[in-house]
Amino acid sequence: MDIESKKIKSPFSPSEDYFVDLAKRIQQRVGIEVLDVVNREKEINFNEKQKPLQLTVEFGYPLKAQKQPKKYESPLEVVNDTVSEQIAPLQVEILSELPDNEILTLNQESTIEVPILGEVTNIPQEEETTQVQELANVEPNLEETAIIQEVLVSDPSEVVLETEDLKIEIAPIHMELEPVYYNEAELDALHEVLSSELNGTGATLELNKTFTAETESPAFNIEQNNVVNSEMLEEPSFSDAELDALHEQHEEQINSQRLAQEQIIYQTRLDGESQQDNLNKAGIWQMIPWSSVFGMVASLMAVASAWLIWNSIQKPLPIDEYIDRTMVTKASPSSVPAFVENNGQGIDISTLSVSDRVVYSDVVEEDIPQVKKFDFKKLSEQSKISSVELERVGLTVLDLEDELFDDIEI
Amino acid sequence: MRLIYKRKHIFVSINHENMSIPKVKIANENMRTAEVSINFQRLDETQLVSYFAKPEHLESVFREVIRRHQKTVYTYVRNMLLSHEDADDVTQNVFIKIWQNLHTFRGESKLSTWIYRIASNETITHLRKVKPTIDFDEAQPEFADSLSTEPYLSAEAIETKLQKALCYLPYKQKLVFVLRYFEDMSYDEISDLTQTSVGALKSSYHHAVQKIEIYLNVL
Repeated sequence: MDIESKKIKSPFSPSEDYFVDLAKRIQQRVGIEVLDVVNREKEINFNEKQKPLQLTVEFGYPLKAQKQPKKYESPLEVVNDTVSEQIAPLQVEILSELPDNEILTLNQESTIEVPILGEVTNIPQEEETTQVQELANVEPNLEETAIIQEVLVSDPSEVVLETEDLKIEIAPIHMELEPVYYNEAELDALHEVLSSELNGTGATLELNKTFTAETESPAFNIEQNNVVNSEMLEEPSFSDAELDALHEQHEEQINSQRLAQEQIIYQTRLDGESQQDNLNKAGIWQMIPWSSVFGMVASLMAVASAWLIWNSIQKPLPIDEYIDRTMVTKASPSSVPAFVENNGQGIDISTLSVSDRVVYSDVVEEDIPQVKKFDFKKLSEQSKISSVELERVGLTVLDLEDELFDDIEI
Repeated sequence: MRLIYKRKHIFVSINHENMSIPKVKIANENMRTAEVSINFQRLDETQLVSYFAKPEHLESVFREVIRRHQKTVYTYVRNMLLSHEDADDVTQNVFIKIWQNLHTFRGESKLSTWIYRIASNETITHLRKVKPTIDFDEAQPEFADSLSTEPYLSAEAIETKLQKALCYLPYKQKLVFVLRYFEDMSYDEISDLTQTSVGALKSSYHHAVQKIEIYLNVL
């Protein structure tokens, strides 16, 4: 049985509790405070949750995410439907684009600039127009909840800025428009104007009414300019020829619009067909996801190279095993000739090395066993090898004269 | 009507004149506190030895030495003596000697080698107490008889057979074999421990292995 090739462990394996108890008894005997010395520190495992490796590769066209309708979920983007509903019947056109407002935080040294973007609504020109103006001067009552605290640092190079998300809450805007009331005098004047128009006087009535929209926040004024031109009420009169010309012109417009639409549709079809043609011409090569293929090839090459590196790394030999191996290889060549011609004169010993002299004296000359004391450490490496080899084949016996068991002074 | 508020940028300025000096003081206090609570378990052997000469850390260092070496000392002594009770006593004596001489260790050899030397001496001292007429050049096969009744013994038959085979070795060869085979010490370390030449150790180990293999085949 080769015990060196297959290592056999020591059969003695006390439990951890025994060593805990042993450590306590040792501490008691030396007279120090008894503490638990056995390993209690847990090692941190950084790889407890590893992300699973994705091994699948999908071929074909990459899926495209469809554009989602914009959702105003951010508190910074507020849609006030109440105002829209109330202003829509009035067909309000907001012409102004509000300038940036400045919001000051509690810390006066930090400034947050907030632009306010207005929305422009297209309205028919024929309808009454109400212009909402002077919104630029409105200062909305905003609450700014982010507080950037003053930072005190000991080292300016180690400043770490931490800001919280800015949250702006805007109260819903409620607008109540006061109905416009006309007194009897104004109604009479209006009646007179309309009557004079019917009579062809061409007088113009201007009604300028200003009312205030009550809002919670922000408060702003809406100036309503109702302009009614009595000339618009006149019905134009056309001759038959003019009517025919207008009719033809109208038909030409319709035809030109229809032609333009057909051209657009036709062009769209052409574009689609050309794209399909290009795709067919490109063939299967464009359908292959080259990035995935290259990724797979790179992964395989990495695995192969890792395998090669792993196999090329040899476990380093222990020093003792290395010495053992070199012992065998060094012991084989010898300067002593395998066969010595016995011509009666012998060999000149002075020509031999120290190790060869040992071998020569033990093998050739000396038949009677001799006890020789020598310092093994001071022998040459070859002599040591020869000595061990001689003992192995039974020609010599090496006895240890070392004082192994003398008390060691501490 | 839709109002969209977007944050453009934030200006933050730091007043450097208000740098807090107390924080520096706190940091200094933390450093002093950290120095007191040294985690000796994270020190390597050289760093640990450097604390041997500091009396204020001696108890903590000694506990760390116990933590690191009590298993190896016990196993080594148990392999030499076979008896659990004897090994337990000798292991305690070894660490008492370590405690008594901890401040004298100068790091000229490895700490483990120094501890093994103390353990070897304590083992021999114990054997001489138990059996005053013991001859270390002779085997002590009588120890093999009591091995099967020992506690903390593995159920593996081959391991027990190996221990019985060790009882048929002279003590010198057994010592070299145990240090080399079980403790995985190099010949240089064993040479440093036993003050014996490496060649003699190799020869001794070689003979021990041959004998054990013969015993294992016979037993």
